[in-house]
Amino acid sequence: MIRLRKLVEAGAWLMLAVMVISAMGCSRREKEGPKGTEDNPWIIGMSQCNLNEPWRKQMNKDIVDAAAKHDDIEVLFKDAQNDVAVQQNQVREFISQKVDLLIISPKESKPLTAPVAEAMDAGIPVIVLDRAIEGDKYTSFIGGDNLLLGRAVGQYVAKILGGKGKVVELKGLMTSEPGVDRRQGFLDGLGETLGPGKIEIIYSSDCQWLEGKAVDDMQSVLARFDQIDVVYGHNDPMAHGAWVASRAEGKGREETIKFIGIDSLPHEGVQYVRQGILDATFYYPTLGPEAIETALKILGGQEVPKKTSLGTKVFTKDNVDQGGEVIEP
Amino acid sequence: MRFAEKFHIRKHLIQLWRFLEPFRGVLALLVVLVVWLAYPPLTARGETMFFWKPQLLRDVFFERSVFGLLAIGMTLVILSGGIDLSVGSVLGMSGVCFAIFTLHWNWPIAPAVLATVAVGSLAGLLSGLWVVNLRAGLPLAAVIFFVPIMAVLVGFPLWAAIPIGLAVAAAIYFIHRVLRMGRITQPFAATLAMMVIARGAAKWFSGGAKVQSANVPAFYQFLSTGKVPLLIFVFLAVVLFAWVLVRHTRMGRHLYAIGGNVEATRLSGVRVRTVSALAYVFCGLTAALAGIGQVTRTTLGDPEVGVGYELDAIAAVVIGGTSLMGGRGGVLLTLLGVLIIGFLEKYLSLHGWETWARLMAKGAIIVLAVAMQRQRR
Repeated sequence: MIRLRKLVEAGAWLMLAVMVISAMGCSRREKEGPKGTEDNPWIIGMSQCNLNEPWRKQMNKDIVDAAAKHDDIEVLFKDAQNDVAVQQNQVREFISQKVDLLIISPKESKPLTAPVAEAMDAGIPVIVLDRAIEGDKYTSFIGGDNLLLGRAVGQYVAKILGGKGKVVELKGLMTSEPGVDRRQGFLDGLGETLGPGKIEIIYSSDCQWLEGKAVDDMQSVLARFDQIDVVYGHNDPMAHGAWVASRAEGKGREETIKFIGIDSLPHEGVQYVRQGILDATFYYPTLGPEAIETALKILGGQEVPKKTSLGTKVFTKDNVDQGGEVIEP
Repeated sequence: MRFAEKFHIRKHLIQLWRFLEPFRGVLALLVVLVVWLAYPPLTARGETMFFWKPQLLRDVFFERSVFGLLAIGMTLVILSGGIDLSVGSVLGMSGVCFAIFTLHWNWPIAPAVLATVAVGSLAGLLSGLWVVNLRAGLPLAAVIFFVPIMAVLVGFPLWAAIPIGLAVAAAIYFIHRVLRMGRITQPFAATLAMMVIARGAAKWFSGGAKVQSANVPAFYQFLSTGKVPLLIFVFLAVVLFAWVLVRHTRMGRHLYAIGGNVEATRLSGVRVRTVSALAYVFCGLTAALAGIGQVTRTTLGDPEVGVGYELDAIAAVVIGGTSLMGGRGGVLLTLLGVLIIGFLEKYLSLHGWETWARLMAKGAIIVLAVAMQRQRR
């Protein structure tokens, strides 16, 4: 028996050693000479707050695709698993790894402001995506125009309800700017049609961009309210979750309620519109291609705008095959 | 004769291992560092990054301070033969309290820290009293715990909170008596209950949302930013304090004794229940300090933070070499465990290992650490 145990111990040590050595296979060699060439590419660090949201998985994928087109850059990805402290640590790791540029999509604005400032102090340019940080110690911010999006949704809802109806709002993380803006824009877009006897928001909760939370909240909404006309989810997964909960209820309300979402990923939101699950989805660009473009400009020494807002489109059953309808600001 | 030769080699290896065995924690750390020397991670510019780089050392210590604090408290509890599953939730709850005190109510720092530590210690006390099953302890702890919290944090006026607390306590006592209910003796069960209760308390106090404010007191930066953040020193100070407590006081020796053999210790006149309960109080105290550290790092009080942290703390204790059955181990061993995990995680992260691979590696290390513990005869 003792012999077996010692054997297992030795085996475990060996396994560990093998794992360590085999993982070294992708180590980089010492580099000399100018940067920005195929042999000595620019190293870009990408700090993603989580990979649970499909939109963020797509963002990373778009960055990988965009970077693959250029031989002179290499992107290192770190996933903070939705933990603010972990993301802070990972930004500091990128700084000590002396990356040439940092792209970050922060979980929250305030806690990540200091680490980004440290990166800037260390001479690393920073591109902030989607959720802004505080102050202006960063190189460039790229985001969708969430106020425009919210307003477009508000105007759409006012139109399809004819000025009268009950709306449920499932919000994204309200400590992040997109969540705040998508709510504010929605209220602005509804404008005068918002009010008792007209369009009423009967329920509004923070589902943190997660489909699971939307399912739970929608279940309690369905139990409490008889009349629901529209469900506005700040992103497609939450709108879909609401649909799932409505179908699970078994009273056929998933047919009568109109579900509206934001993101329009081709295999997700747009598919849902085709299948009749969502009434409409509004396009929020993943910012991946734009991030790489801006990164290349910065590394090439060009000036880039401090803030870039990208526009949006709407996909409904009528226009889904034509690629949606562009919405002007 | 080949077998005889093998036999001698094996005998020498066994002798070598027996000699090194007390130092296996240090050895494990050395292995990590040697591997680091052999295959150092590289910066983007191709420079090698060695672990003695001040920035890296600071990062490792700083990142592990919060977990380290939890692990130190956990060590005392594990030495006495128990376990505390609630530290993650108590961290979250204390963090929320500290955030409310300093961000919403604008208390000065000193009373806020004291009050937060008190909250954490009270949670520990409650767990501890459950574990040592003092019949009067349960309602007593309920009163101590709920009255100030209801009054101060939820807004009941004190004159209403005290009678309500006493009524709840009396009810618990009578239900216990009348129904001749059993008592909780398993630390696992007691601290599991506290884990859930503290998480609920965290969400209750915070109103379900993150506690934050535009005005962050200077203390937050003082503790958690800078060349060498103060939090690291707080962690090391707690390590020192715990080490002195465990190694050089009577209470410390009693902890080992209780972990080794409860009955014998009780028969030799040691107040087993008091010492055990105090270990849980200390654990709650370190969890509160960890909560404060976490809040100053992220500048907000998150009721969801700390989920799963207790497992990391236990992992550090186990890897360090303290036996989960109690009676063997120590604070410095846990510090070793924290450092091993810290350097290993940093090393793998710099080499770009993905999360799943790092988790697998950590799991393998835990298995190894447990397998290497000398079996009790």
